[in-house]
Amino acid sequence: MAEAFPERDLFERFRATIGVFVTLAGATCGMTLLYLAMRAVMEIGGFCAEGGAFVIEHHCPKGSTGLIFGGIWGGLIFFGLYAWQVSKHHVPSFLGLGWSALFLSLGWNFLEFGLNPPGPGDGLAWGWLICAIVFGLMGGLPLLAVVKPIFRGFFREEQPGTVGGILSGAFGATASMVRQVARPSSTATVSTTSAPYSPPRAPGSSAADIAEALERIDALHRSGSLTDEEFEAAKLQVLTED
Amino acid sequence: MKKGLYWLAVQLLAIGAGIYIAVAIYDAVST
Repeated sequence: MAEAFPERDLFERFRATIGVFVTLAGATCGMTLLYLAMRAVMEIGGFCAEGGAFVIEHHCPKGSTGLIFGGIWGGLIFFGLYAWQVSKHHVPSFLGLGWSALFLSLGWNFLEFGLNPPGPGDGLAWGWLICAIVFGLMGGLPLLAVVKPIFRGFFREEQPGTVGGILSGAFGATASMVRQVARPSSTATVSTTSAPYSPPRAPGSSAADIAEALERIDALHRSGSLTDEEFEAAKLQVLTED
Repeated sequence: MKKGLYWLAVQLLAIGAGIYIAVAIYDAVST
C-alpha cells in the first residue's frame, strides 16, 4: 500500500477525510432519497401529478416531487465533488460503484413492485419486471468489472487517485487497455537493452494500427534504438500477428 | 494497507451516514 500522506501533516489528512466523508455522504444521501421517493410513487401505482388546471386523480405523495429532483441533482453534484476530492487527495474510492448502486437500487424497486404490484389483483406487473431486468443488467454487468479494481484500490495494487486509478475503478478492463495503448514509448526504450523489440499491439488491430506500429519501429530504427536485426524481427512480428 | 483500511472505514461510515440522513429527511418531509 503506497502511503497516501507520506509527508503531509495531520491537518491535511483531516481536510481530506472531511472532504471525502461529506461528499460521499451527500452522494449516498441523494441516491437514497431518490430510491425512497421512487418507492412512494410506486406504492400509489407508479404515476402521479400535481398542479395545473385539471382534476388530478393520483396526487403525488407528500414531498416526493422535491425529493426526486433533489435526490437526482443533489446526488449528481455531490458525486462530482466526491470524484474531485478523491482525485485531489489521491484516495482509493467507490467511484466505480456509483453507476451500479444507482441502477441496482432502482432496479430492486422495479423488481419488488413488479412481483407485488399495488392495488387489487395478484398478477405480476410485467412492465416493471422488464424495467427490473434492464436496470439489473445495466447495474450488474458493470459491477462485475469494477469490483476487483476497487478492491485493489483499497488494498494496494492500483495507484489511487490517479486518472488511471479512477478510470480503472469506473471502467475496469477498459482502463487497462487505455494504459496499454498509452505506454508504447516506454516499452520501446526498455526493450532495446536485451530482448528484441516487441511492438505493442492490441488484439484485433486494424490496418491503421499496423501502419502506426510500423512507423513507430521505423522511427526507432532510424534513431538507432533498434539494430537492423531487431528492426526486421519487429517488422515481421507486426506483419504476421493478427 | 493501513491507509487503505483507513479510507475504507471512512467511506463506509460516510455511506452509512448518507443513508441515515436520507431516511431522516424523507421521514421529515413525507409525514
